[in-house]
Amino acid sequence: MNKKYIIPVVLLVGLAFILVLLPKKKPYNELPAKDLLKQVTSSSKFISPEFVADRLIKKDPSMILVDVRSEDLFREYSLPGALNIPLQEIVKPAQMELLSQEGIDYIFYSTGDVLADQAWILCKRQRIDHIYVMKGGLNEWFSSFFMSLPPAETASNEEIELYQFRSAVRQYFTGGETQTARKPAGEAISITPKKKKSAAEGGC
Amino acid sequence: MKEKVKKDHSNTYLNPYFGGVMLGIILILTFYITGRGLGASGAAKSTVVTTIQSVAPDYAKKSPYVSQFISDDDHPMNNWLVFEVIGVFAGAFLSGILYGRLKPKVEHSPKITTRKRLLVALIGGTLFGFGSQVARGCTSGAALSGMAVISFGGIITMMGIFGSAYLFSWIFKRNWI
Amino acid sequence: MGPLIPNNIIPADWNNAIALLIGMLFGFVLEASGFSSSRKIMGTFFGYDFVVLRVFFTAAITSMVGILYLDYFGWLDFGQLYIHPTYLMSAIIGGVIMGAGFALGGYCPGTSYCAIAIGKLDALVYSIGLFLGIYLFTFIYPWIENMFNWGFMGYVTAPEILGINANLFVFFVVIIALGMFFAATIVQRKVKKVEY
Repeated sequence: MNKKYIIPVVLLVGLAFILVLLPKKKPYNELPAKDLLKQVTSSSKFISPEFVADRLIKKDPSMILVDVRSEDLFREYSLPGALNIPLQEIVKPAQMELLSQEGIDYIFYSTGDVLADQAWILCKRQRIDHIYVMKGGLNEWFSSFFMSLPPAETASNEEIELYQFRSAVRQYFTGGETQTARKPAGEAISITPKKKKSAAEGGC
Repeated sequence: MKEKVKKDHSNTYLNPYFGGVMLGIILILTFYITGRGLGASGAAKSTVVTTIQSVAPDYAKKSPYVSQFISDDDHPMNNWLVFEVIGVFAGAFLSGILYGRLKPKVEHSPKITTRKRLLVALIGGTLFGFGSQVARGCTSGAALSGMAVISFGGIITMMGIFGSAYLFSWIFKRNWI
Repeated sequence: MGPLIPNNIIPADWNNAIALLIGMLFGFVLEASGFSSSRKIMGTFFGYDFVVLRVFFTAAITSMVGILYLDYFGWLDFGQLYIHPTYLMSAIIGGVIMGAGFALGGYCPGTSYCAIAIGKLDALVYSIGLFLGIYLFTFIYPWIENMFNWGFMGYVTAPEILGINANLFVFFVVIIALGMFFAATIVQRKVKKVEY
């Protein structure tokens, strides 16, 4: 064994040994910033209230609504079947675990969509898939189904169909009431707050 | 006028450990830039596929193996490995020039004839070509690049090659020593 | 963050040009280390010249340690690297057949290309054999397709299969490799010299 090899050999063994002793790398595994920004600004994460209503009526088991507002607001009013995970709780590992379940689409909603969007970003950063935001939140939900005006005579077919769908949804969720403007407390919208009578159930 | 006596470098080689470290660094670089390792038999396969395709396109389409490598919108030679192998030829050629090793010859043990050596090389190549397709790689692709990423299949293939080569080289000892 | 091309840090169009450059480095180092001579290569199996062992395993341990360090420091994402898939049966059988071919031909494809580049005619014949062998394979493939695909274990690393830490595994490989180099030096001193 040549003397000149001693240094390289010691170096190599040393490096390999240090590799063994290195502390476990923190598997932070976050989505890189650039990718996150790209996803944040894409519109494919938004789901319309109509879509949510459609899946709710069809009792789609693969969709779960997540209400990211506070517990109090949730108790006052929530969409049928929604889970309540306030924004501050979402970042906890247990909730992240829950949301990473395969095969289920989680749709975040809040009053508008600012809180829901924030929740979405936090989860997306941890590389969770199948999460969406209901566009417009509860505000949009109400204005679509409970405050939409009949379309004008000259409206296109799509607009008429949309209106008919929305009326049907309204009837489904309110058991045939045609009243509008049912808004939970704490909203920034001008509609007078009124406590909802009962959680909307399936069936007419 | 001074007469320059050319020193014969043709038997000088790099220190093997140094060469190994260089090769290791090349491997790391390859993985770092392209995400894949080196390879050699893949280029031979691409050549065969291309040849089959031009000479007997029907066989190429019908053959369950060859058809995997043909696609309508890309030429099988438009392949990372083919370009790499072209580079290998060029690099080795350069090294040959540098060290003065460019010389056409048939290298063989003095105990066998040139003809025998060529015949045995042909058989050896055939076996190796066949085996490389079975194992999905050769010493550069499966064994070397496989070891660089600690691939289980790569290590198994490497052990198979070296173990079997040890066995067979002693059986066919006459060819070499 | 590597690998650069899969992460689009370098445009994918450069891939082939980079392949060419890397190939040149590869070919140069191989030839300069002596892998263009079949009798030198076979020295490993008869004990008179262990260049194959030394270069191969030094390259293997250098790259293993290097890649793991790069991954640890976050400069290279190990998960994005191509790991040679493990098909248990074909890996073993293919390896054995290749070993026989190696013992007869004295080359492997990569070294045969280097040898052709410097004019070795036996390497040229060897590579013709390579083509023949691959061609034969395409004929025989339908019969051995089942064996070929048997035992697929995924694109797994050895430490994953053995259930030990990757860094520990590499450390052991380093030690074993150094041991082999030491043994090779001793054997080489004792073996009868061969002129080649």
